[in-house]
Amino acid sequence: MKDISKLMESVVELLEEPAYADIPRDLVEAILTAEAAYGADRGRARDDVQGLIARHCAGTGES
Amino acid sequence: MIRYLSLTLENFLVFKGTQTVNFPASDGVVVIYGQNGKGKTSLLNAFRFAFTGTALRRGNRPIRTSSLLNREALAENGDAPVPCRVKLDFMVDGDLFELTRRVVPTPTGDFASEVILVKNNQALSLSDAEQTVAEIMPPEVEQCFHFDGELLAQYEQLVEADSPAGAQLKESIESILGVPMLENAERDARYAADEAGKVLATAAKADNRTRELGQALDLTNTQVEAHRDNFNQERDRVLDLEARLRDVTQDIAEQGNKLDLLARRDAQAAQVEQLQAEEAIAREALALVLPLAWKAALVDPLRERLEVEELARDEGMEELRSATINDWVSSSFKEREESSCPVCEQGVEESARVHIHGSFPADPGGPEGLLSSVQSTSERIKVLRRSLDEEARARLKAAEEAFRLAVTKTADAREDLEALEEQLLDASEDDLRELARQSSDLGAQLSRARDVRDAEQVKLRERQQAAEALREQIRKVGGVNVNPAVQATAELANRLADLFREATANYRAALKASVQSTATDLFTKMRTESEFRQLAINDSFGLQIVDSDGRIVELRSAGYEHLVALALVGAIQAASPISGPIVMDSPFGRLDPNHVTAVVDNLNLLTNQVILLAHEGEITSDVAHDLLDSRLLAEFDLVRVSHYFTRLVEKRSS
Repeated sequence: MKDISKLMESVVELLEEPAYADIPRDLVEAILTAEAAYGADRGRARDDVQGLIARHCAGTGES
Repeated sequence: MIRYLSLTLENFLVFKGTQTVNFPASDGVVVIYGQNGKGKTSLLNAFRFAFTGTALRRGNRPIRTSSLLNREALAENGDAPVPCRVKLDFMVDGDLFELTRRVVPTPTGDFASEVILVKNNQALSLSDAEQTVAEIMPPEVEQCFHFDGELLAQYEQLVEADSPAGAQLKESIESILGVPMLENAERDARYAADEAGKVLATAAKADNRTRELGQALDLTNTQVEAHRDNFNQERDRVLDLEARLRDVTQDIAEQGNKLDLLARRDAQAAQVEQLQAEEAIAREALALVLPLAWKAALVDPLRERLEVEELARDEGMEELRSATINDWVSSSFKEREESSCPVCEQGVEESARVHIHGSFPADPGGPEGLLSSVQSTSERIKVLRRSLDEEARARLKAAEEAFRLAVTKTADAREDLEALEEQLLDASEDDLRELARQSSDLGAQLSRARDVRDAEQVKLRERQQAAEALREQIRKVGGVNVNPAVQATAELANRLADLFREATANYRAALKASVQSTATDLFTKMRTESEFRQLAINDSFGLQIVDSDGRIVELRSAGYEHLVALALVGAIQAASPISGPIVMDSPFGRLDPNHVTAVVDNLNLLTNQVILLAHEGEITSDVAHDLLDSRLLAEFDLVRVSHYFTRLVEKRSS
């Protein structure tokens, strides 16, 4: 199975920096999981990522 | 971690009938020996076919699905389709998988492959099966697990700057290591930001305070979309050119190989001629002994008859002996007027007289008739023995065997010759020139297309940044009647894209460091020259040898190229998001015996389960035993029964 842990390591390092500190790790992990699962189907991966971000923003009521 | 348990082949390529290889459950090495043309590459293709549904010729060209069916089985079935499948049983992290890939006829008269996947004894639906197989072993990663040692030479191209093939390999390696996942995440997050920006632009245009900004954003969004379309078009163009160049490069390689094929064809033709001469001699020898054929044909019936006559003679002799004794006792008793016993000469009573008559009955014909019969039988035996010519039969049999062997050898050699001639069809110098011209043109087009693609990416990014700035201005002015979540989506998606962009650069740097370190570690364990200190990686994952003075070693032997490539494959495997067994065809082709020893000693560093498809010129069974000792789990031979039939025979298992 495609293991995204090594990719996550490179992202997690950056999440500790102030510029990205407020970006939720769960969301990043969900996006990479979608890319790992549907990477070959670009349309599906793109829609999944768009949906994940939109749902996150709608769910947190960010403004 | 993937672990192979068994592989079953049914009428797949040269493997006629159903044949199974069981792989021992412990960590170690399995060696499958086979001379060239006996099915090593077919076996490598079985693993490849199971996972990807594709089998490849040397040079990575797909074999037509219809050509996967065993030709001998087809011929025996009157060219009607026969069952053809590969079944691979394996474990992944505690789950048991039975993966079957079958070749099935289609309604249009062609053939297609069909996958069946059983996970922990439960069959998955077709779509789940395809997705699960692609997750376990993605096609782009598969080449790092099942590969041809002879093709390791391709990794040399990574060292050459601007080599189209090297660029292609670099992309392939990055794909194996998961870089596209991060790149795609950036691209998709940016797309999400752009889509939210469109909603924002429409809302901004509807408000007096932000109308102009909204119009500017609308225009910028249109430009972003146009550049994205351009970028996608150029990316597809690059992919198309890469594929075409790959085909042409392969054609050139094959044409180049044709010189070698030509030499092999000539040698094969000479061998066929030699074998035909030997066949003619064997035929003449057979013709010489053919007059003896009737004698040879009579050997069995004569021997049977002889056995009957000898038995009859032995029985006759026994009867003759009894009759002679009876006759003597009877006549002697009569001579004594039956008053005394002819043996002990004592007087006999009436009861003894009756007993003597009963025990030694006189034959009315006497022993003379029996003697005549025994003599006749003995005469017949003499005649039969004279007629029995076993040597004739032995000579005829030997001549027949020699002739049959000569015919088989000639037929096999002729088949090999035909196969070589088939490969040599359409070979011409003009074709080679045309291919070279196409390669040059495509290389130039590809280089330009890459530049255009990269320029479009820069323009796209510039327009996206302009859109980001406009969205930010609209947000600052405020009052736009839009769902706050949309604005948040645009902002968060953009920052996520930046995050993935930076992560991609970091990941690439970390990968290169990791690949260089692991490859150096493997290389220094396998190399014999201690002055070769380490490997240095370039931006394309090309590895160069660095000597003890810190200088790049410019000229590397074929053997060292092979070692460096092996180290690279091992390092890529170690850095890959997937780990599993390595199946390697012709693993030591370009290595001298010292380096074979060094590589074999370190095979366990590559992965837990290694399956080597080797010919005994690369490594003998004795050497494998000496070097691997308890790590050698099992050995198999590929035994050629005929041109289209190879049998897998286990040598040893522990």
